[in-house]
Amino acid sequence: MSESGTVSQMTDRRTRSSARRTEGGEREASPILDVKDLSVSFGAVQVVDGVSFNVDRGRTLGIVGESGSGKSVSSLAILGLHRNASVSGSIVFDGEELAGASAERLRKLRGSRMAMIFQDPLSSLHPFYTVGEQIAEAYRLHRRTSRKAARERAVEMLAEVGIPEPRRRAREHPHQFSGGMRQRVMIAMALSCEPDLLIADEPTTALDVTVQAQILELIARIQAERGLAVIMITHDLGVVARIADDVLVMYGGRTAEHAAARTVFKSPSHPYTQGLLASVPGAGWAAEDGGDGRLRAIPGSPPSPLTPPPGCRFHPRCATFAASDNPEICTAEHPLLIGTTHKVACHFPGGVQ
Amino acid sequence: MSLLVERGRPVTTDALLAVQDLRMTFPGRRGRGIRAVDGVSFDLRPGETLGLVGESGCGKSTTGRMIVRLLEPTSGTVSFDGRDITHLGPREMLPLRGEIQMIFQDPFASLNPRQTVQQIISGPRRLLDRAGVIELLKLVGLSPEHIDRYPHEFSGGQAQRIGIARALAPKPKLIICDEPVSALDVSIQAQIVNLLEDLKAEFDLAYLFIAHDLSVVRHMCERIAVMYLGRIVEVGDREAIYTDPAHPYTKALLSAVPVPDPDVEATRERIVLRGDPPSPASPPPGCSFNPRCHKAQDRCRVEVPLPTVVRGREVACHFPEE
Repeated sequence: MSESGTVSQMTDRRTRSSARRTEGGEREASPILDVKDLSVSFGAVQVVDGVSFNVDRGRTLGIVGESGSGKSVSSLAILGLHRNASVSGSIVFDGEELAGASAERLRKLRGSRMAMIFQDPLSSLHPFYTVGEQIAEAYRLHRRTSRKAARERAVEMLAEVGIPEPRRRAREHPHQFSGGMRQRVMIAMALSCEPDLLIADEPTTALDVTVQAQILELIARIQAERGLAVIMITHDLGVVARIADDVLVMYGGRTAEHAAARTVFKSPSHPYTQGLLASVPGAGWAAEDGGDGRLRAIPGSPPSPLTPPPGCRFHPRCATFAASDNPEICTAEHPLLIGTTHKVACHFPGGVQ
Repeated sequence: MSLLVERGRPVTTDALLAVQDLRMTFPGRRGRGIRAVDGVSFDLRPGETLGLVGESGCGKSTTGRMIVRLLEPTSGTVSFDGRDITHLGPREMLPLRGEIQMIFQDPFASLNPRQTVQQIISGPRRLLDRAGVIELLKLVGLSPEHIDRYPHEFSGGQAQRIGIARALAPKPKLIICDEPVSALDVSIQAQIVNLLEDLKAEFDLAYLFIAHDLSVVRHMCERIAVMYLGRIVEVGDREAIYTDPAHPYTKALLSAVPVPDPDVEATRERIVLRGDPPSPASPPPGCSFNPRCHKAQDRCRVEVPLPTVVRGREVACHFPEE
């Protein structure tokens, strides 16, 4: 019964991923992707402002933020998918600088060594072509194989992402697939050329929780088998807690906090991270919390990139700021990102003394 | 009332809303009906919040829409305040429209872009004067100067507040909340959840809270009904459902929800359901959950389980969890 549910005890993924990293050979020394001081602006509107992060092979970076935080724009900039934006900073992919690289070079890398999956698989798939043709097209383009070999590859990939009857399903069109199956098709397409980096932009937001669990498990399995580096962009803190090794919290286009996942969840220093974690209902599930009482909501709404507040972008909503007689420094100066392994951009991390 | 007793379960006298064996069959291909809702029964007491949860396509929104009569049920009854309202005509429904209100998922799609906030909140029947609208705006956390603005001038969270103010204007007893926070940013969700709870306490409202986000439902609802493929598979008090689920589907659903704690995530037992929810156009024989259930046996593939009481909640399963 392939259809029947299975009970699986998830082992600690982190031990598996670190074991894998030592097998890979000489390329282990540097991260597969190293982004430094990335800024993106559209005309006069700066959407991402000096964001730095890196991802190792076999590791997962979770980028967390609300709408307008710049999390998706950053990832699109890595792939060179912004036509009318000015991108500055450094994006080093496997030792190669991508900032300022030619469109042709980026096109070669996209889909073959860096791949991306999006929130809505239906709008990312072409309705006219069969899913087999769509998977085969990218493979044939990058690998210069015959049509026949590419078609075989498509069937093989559909089988790998757990689609039953892959040979028959490859001849079907996107509308004949359910939401979860479409996301599997997207993953099959993204991974057909065996990329080193997968950027997943809210890949499970449109899916039911049971299907979300399947997709997250699939990504984790493929990552473990291939030593893939993953950037998971999401607003769901639970998803991040489940799969990320490191977490980057973005707010108003800037980095608020950046540390190992456990550090961010267990000892968050930025008032925004603290507020975000406290505002999630059921954060106390582990402690069998009854769920009574009010949620500790963050007042106000995320800033618009058109009119960012001066100084620290979070200060108008910040509990620390409000509780400490509105210190002038928060409204005047943009806090620098400080720290080595646990980086925080706040004038008063951990509260005013 | 006699009709209700005939169908088996008598309506408890204190129920504000009583839904009995409600069914909705949409026309399907080749004359086969799609049974979106297939015999749903539950009660809602005044001032109570009942959560209706399930995956997409399970019929939870269709149930909500039948209660407010946006859809005509194929069969079954909806009683409000002890009165059968299932087949009332538009004119008879009119006085009840104010008592049963609805809040929708997409705040922008549910506000008329060509109306000002005052026109939206006072409604087609001009229920409120300007002062009344301002009072409501303050109540939902907006400021009086917002009254002459149009929906596009607001953020998602603010637009949802307008939707809530509109629902409150006719002084309802029951509000059907269909995924009221799932389109909002995480930090805004908590604000709206708090607002809904404050309003409930102030006006003694009852909510039917339809959602797929199980953590929000756990926070908001005293009782929870879990739906699967058009039927309620388990209904009971919050703590019973969340800490001691009896239906294998409830257990799988809860274990699939990611918890924002890496330590819990690394160690907890997880039941990963294989496959997608089946289509209501061709439900499997027997228990509709059997193809995905890890406990399914031969009996489950033949016989539809009826609701029985297990540890203080109703569950429709041949082999409930111990």
